[in-house]
Amino acid sequence: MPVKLVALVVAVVVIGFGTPSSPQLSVVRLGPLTADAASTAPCPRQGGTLRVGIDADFVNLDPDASTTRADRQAWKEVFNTLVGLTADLKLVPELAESWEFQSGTRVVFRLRHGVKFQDGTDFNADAVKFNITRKKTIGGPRVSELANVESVDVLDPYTVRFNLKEPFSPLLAILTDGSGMMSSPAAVAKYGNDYSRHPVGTGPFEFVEWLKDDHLTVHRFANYWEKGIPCLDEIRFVPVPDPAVKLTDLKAGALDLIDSVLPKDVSGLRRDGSLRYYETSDLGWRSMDFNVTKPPFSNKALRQAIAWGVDRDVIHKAILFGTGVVAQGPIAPSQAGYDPKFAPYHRDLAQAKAKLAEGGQPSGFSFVVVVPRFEVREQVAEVIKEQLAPLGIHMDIQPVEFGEYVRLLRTRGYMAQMGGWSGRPDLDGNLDYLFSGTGSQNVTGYSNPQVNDVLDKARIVSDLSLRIRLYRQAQTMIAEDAPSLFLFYLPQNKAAAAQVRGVEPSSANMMRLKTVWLSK
Amino acid sequence: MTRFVLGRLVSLLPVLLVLSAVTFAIMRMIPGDPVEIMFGGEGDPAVVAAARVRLGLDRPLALQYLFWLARLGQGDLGRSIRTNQLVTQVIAERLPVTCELAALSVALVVVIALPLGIVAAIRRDSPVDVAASSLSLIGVTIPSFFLGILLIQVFALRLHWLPPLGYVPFLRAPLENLRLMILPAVTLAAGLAAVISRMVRGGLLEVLTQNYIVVARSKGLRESRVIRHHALRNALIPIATVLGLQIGALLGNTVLTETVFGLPGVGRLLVDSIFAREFAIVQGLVLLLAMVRVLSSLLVDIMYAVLDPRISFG
Repeated sequence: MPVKLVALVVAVVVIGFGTPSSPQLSVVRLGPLTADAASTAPCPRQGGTLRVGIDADFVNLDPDASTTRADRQAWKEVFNTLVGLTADLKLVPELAESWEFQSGTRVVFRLRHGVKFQDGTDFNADAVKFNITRKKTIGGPRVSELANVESVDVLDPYTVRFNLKEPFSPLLAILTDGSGMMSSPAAVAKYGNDYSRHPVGTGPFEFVEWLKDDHLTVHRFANYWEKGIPCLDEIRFVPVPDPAVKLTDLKAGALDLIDSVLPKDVSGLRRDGSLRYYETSDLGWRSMDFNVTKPPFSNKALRQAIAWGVDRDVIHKAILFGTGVVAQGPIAPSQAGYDPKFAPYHRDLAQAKAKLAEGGQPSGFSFVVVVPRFEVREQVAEVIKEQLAPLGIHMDIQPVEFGEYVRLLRTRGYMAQMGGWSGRPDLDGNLDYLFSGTGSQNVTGYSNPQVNDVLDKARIVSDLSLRIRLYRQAQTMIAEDAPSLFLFYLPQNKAAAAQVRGVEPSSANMMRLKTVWLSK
Repeated sequence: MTRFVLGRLVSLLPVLLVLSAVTFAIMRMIPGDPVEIMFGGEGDPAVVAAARVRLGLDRPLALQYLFWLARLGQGDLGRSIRTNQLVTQVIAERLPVTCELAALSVALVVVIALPLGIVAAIRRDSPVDVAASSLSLIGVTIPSFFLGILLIQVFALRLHWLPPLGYVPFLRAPLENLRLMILPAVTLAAGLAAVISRMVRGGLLEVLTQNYIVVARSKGLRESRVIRHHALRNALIPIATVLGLQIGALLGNTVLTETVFGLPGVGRLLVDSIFAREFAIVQGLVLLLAMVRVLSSLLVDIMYAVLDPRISFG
């Protein structure tokens, strides 16, 4: 009875007063409800080891060189970023206590005092300059992210100025991830080529050991600058590539927290009182993308015909089991600027037929879609194939290995492909990279001068509400042109044992475990 | 003897050279660029192009191969594209796992297959023989990845006798290491044990009809002595050949076994490296596996001399 009462009170409090910034971001907490949010101390209980099951092993632990998504989970514990990002995508001070745009191209960052790297050296302005220079010259993924940064000036030991080539409003958001992570210059010099296996940052946990394909261990960093953090003594990351095995290990108590749950397993988890399930939606979507430079999809009406022919809700229910969110455009549900009412297409066979006639193919046509063999992309393609059949559109599914898939995309050697985007916290990264004519990820060949103009403008204005207006404008035009058929935003979900508290899933993919604690 | 071994070793060189050239060509014929894959298909084309130049992937293939050969001459197998780690180091880290797995499997084969084959031969057509035959038939026909999954299902997930997957270095926790290695070793050993037990049975039956066995028996020797000293020794020669040659195949099979059981060995490294187009690692591993195979066949030849005094290398 008392447990039920507590649950009721908590539920009322959440429903009554909790105002999540958007409905998709609300965190679903299941299992035994206790008021662990009531305590204000960062760590109601200290100590313990957390065993985290992850999809894939780490590849390269150097945030300046690695291109692998999985690696970011380790960085989130070992490193801090210049600018912080909250779970609901707000920019907050982290290693930089404040920043100021002196002009469109000059940004001054005031750095936090008294921050130590895990090797005992000081974090300061020289370290920032060293890191940014390294990121720009090492040839990794940061080169393009920081392409707009001309140079970094050290103004005093705790103040740096970034000099930009041109005004670039996404800069702060870019500094919340790999590009803003600060390595110890001394450690980089000490380990040389082996730094990718010995990361040293200022983060709450320090790297201990990594046995390839087996585990990676981090320990609490005793001199961490945030008082009373982290809560755990140790985190052990265990790669478990098979999702079924990973879930079994969690249920059996061999793991405490897992980084993803297959959509089909979610309803079972929700019923399991001994586990907690957390979900938010990802920043990245999945789509069917068209090569607009070649027939048949150089014909806009035929792209639109397909957009009217597909039922996204069926895909959402049948393949995602209702997890994640139906996608209608590149602005993600967790981003500022998301409009839940924006829905230019739904399944309407009359409209689809009209578009087929407009495109000169009233009785349908045939095309080939290439599908990489991962996630649920083949299944999604099967459903779409069925949905298009009544229109006389014959879709031929061609599964390909990942390396070949990338080659086909880059050479535009495809008609349509089951693609998508991994997503970025800033809107620029979700629109400009893919839909600007010169975007680095533009694999469709799409280029609309009006869209290009709007996206260029949005890059240089700093006022958020104006930027949102511009991006929404671009989104509307992109939807009308339909180079991509937006299908869904994947769920970002986690599951944990009951004693694991303080888990906060972020739509920016990775968990930060510094405030996670164990209740026993 | 020394001349024979040296001669054989020298004759290895052209084999390895051809093999490395073929591997080099095949790996590069597979569509897909290592740098594009490394960036997960989301690389900035300018950065990808720069990385290709830095890694020397923009050079003509023949030139790339010659550079690789030149470095090989200095004992340098190159570096991993994704981690910049030395290939020799990458392989050395994984090798102990595979060696342990292979050694345990061979031990299992000897412990299981020899007695089984001998008993089946002595008690020919008895229920024991029939059971042994059926068991080997299953062992030969069941695909190793399926057997692995089956064993995990039964012994790890249903009975909870053994952990399903994972790895602990032997030196850190010997007992836990062995608990984790039992199922993979059984999986890897099954096929070979089946073949060997059939060969032992067949070989022994054949030898047992020979005149010298009849003579030995007529001298009044105990049957156990006849089997051990007269029959088995002669029957073992072809079996040693097969066992030696199969070690190469065994290493090939570790690819599947390590993937099913999540063991961080060279087999799994090979698979991952092929998908990531880690040219240098694949190249190094193929070279290593080929050397093991050729050297084990050399070892077999030498063992002939040990097992059969009539054979000598002049």
